[in-house]
Amino acid sequence: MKRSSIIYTILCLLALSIVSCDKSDDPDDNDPDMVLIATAMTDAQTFQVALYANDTLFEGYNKLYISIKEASSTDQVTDAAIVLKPLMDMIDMVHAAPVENPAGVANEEGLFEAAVVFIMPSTDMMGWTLDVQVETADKDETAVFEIPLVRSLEESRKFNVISPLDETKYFVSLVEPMAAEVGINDCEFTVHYKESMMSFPPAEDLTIEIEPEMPSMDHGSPNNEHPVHTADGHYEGKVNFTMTGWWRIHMVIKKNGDVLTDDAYIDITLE
Amino acid sequence: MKNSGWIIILFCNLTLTQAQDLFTEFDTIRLEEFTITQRIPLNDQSVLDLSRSSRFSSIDKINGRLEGISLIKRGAYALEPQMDGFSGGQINVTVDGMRMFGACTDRMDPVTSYIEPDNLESFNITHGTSGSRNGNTVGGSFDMILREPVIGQTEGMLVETGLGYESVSNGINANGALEVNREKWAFRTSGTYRNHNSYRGGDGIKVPYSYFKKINLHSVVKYDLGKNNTLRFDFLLDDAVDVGYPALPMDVGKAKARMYAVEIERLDAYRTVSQLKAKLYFNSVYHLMDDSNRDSTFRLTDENGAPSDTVYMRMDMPGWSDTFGFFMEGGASLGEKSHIYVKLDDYLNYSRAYMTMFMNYPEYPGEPPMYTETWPDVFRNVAGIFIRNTTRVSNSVNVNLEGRLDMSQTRVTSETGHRQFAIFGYDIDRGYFELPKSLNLSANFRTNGVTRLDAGAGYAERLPTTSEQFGFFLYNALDGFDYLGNPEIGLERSTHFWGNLHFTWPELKVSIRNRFSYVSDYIIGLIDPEIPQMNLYASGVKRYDNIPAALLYGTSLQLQWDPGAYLTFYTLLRYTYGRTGEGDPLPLIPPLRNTSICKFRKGIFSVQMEGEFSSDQNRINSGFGENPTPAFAIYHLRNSFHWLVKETVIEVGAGIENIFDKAYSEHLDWGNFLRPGRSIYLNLRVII
Repeated sequence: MKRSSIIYTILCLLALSIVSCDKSDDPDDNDPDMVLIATAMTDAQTFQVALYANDTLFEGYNKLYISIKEASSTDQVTDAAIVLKPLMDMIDMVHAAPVENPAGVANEEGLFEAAVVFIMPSTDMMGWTLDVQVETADKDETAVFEIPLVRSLEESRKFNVISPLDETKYFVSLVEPMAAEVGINDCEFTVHYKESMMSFPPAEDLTIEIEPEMPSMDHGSPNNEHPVHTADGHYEGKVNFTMTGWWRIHMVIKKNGDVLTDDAYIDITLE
Repeated sequence: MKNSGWIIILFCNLTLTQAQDLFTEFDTIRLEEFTITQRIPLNDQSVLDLSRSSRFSSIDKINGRLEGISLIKRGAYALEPQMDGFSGGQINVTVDGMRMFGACTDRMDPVTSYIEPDNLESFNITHGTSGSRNGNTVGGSFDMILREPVIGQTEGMLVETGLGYESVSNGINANGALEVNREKWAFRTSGTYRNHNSYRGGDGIKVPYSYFKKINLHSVVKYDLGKNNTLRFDFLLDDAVDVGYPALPMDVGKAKARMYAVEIERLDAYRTVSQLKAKLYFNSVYHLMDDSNRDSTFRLTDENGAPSDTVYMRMDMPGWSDTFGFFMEGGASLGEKSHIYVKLDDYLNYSRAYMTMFMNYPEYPGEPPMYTETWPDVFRNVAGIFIRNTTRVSNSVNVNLEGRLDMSQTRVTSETGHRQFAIFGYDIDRGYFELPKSLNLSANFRTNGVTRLDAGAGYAERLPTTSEQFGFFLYNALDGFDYLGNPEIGLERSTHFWGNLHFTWPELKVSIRNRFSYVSDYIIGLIDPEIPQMNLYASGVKRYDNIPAALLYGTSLQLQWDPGAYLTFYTLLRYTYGRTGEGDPLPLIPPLRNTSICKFRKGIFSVQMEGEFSSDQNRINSGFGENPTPAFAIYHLRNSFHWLVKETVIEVGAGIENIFDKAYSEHLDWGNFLRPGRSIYLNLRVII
């Protein structure tokens, strides 16, 4: 009995190691939903940083997956404080964008999960850069990415609101990927506001009302749930689609009962 | 008279009803002409014989004349039968006992639309809860018996062909039949072709989209297996194309039905056990709605508000309904005074319908199509047992007790369907199990050969239809609402009482019928203001629900008088009343109606004058889009000649329907579009 259980354990371990050997370290080899955006070395050449996303980057809320490897050993770094600094150089001015920095630990795949809300698309003349500061127990280095492209979407996933109360500019984004389908869908929005050119903290004290509509059919859907704030400027609700096609989610955004906007919307097309 | 008698012998089709057990009496209506013997009380057969306009009568024309049956009309074709105010899933429409369901989510294809009278031998009609032989029902049953050839006796062959014309729709009807009878086998095939343009209303204006075209073919082979066993195969095909529906925002591009059946029958195998029958069947219906001829429905307007030509929406709405089933039945005598009949049956229906909307809105170019599942892959299996016991209490009294229990399981298999209904708070990822049942007790009393009284009471439950349970935003053109199914809907239950009184004298027959139903958990659409409509032209959403109560009452007086050998007078007066428990009128209840016929027949010639009279209907439910309907009177004149030339029968019929070109519509006609105006018809029929 004992011998057989030992053999069994060894076999299991072997099998496990084969599986893990099979698995490539590059996420996009395993996950077809993952796109490699760019790679860069940190300034002291200690770390190789790779940037992945679910899709090529676009104007709006982009989830980012950061892989950090030690350049010498190609070992995956899974424990580091990471700070993202997106930057748009518009010749006459420079501004940042809302970010969600990763927690100090990587996920099961060894990737640090972060997000950036690109508040404008890149153009031929001007583009985004992204500084990724990696701070481990003994190192503090920064990798600088030239973001190749931030697309402007035909169906926008983000809109701006300028508060009629105090002229504060808010950025409302749909958290992607949403994978909308006919039926009940979780929908999540983020709202950030512009404190300064370089600071975009989350707006956590808003109320959001949604109403989906099919613009060309002049009808909506019932039993939607207005998004409510969860944490860090994220608002979660439910939106229902009774058929495929082009839907528009109308949104009313209020702060302390005062309407910031009542004619904003985000379009979603279900194929 | 001689000729009609000759036709009876020719077809030898009377055997079935006459062989039927003495105790069991259905309202059986035979389509072949025969003379009612003086001892039989007045029944629907009399109406049929008298009011059959021609050999080419559509099944709708026949149904509309029957006692207790009205028709819901949406177009020139495919009228939906209604019995005493019950329709749709409240009544059982079957073909030779076989279950069949239309594939249209908007009830544009009642099962009757797939059958032609030429294929039919008779109808078995039972009203109210007592119609549960082929399935539990609250409103009644309507079984269409397919025609079959006769084996043996006289070997022969029969060819029949006919051609007819109707002026009002410039319509052609043609049919043909071939029957071969041999000692061991028999074969019959019959086909009908109809091609009608839009007809003209009584106001002289064409009723748009009232055209239709169809072919229908029925073939049957019977083979004698010996020892009173017969094997029978049936095949039925019905294809209709370009069927217009004036009352609806769309037409039907194609409606296609196929039916296959194999049956073994064993007659009088033993003395105590009789009429054993087993049948296996499959039928498949495909129905495609089409709005490509309806440009006007969705015209855009230009800056001045004038219509521009751009249509901005097209709909594609296919539907399928496949039914696979079997039944076994048999009767046995229990002693001298009692008879038992048992039927076991099972059917599996698979219904699905989808809707895709294609937009062409100049403001929003390139919009992707919108897709939704209006019947999201609904499977329903129903197994049932029906038992009837008939006891002869005395020579003048029969008592009949019958009961049925069904076991029904319904399941939606489409993922999209599950998600669609989740929006409304339903988790439909489970089977829906029901046990509908019924029990009926009736008796008939005969006295002195003149008076007969039938009376009974019953209780029955019925299943909700696919649309009532799982329909997803089905547009109803009558009230302008989208209808949403209710997965949790309960069975509809009816308590039914009836009493019919018949007087039969040699020259005069009178029948008075009364039927009363108290329906609880009545299924009806109720406005749900919380839900936005989905179709462009809908004004809101109704959700199917059970309301506590509804009352329906139907009564009729029938009278036939035969003074002398040449003359017959016939009249049918009928009235239906329906209201909810709260006193609101039920929608689509026909008003007081009368059909009167005077027929003169001598030798080869017959002529008849008919009048149809309807009172106005002001007891309406405007919540269901009903308008008051004015009273009307219309008249028809029919003539026919029969010749027998050697072995060949030649029949010529000619007449005028709606002689005075009255512009009218019946209360059950959706949208009040006009019925046909004056129409001259001409028929020729040859039997060799």
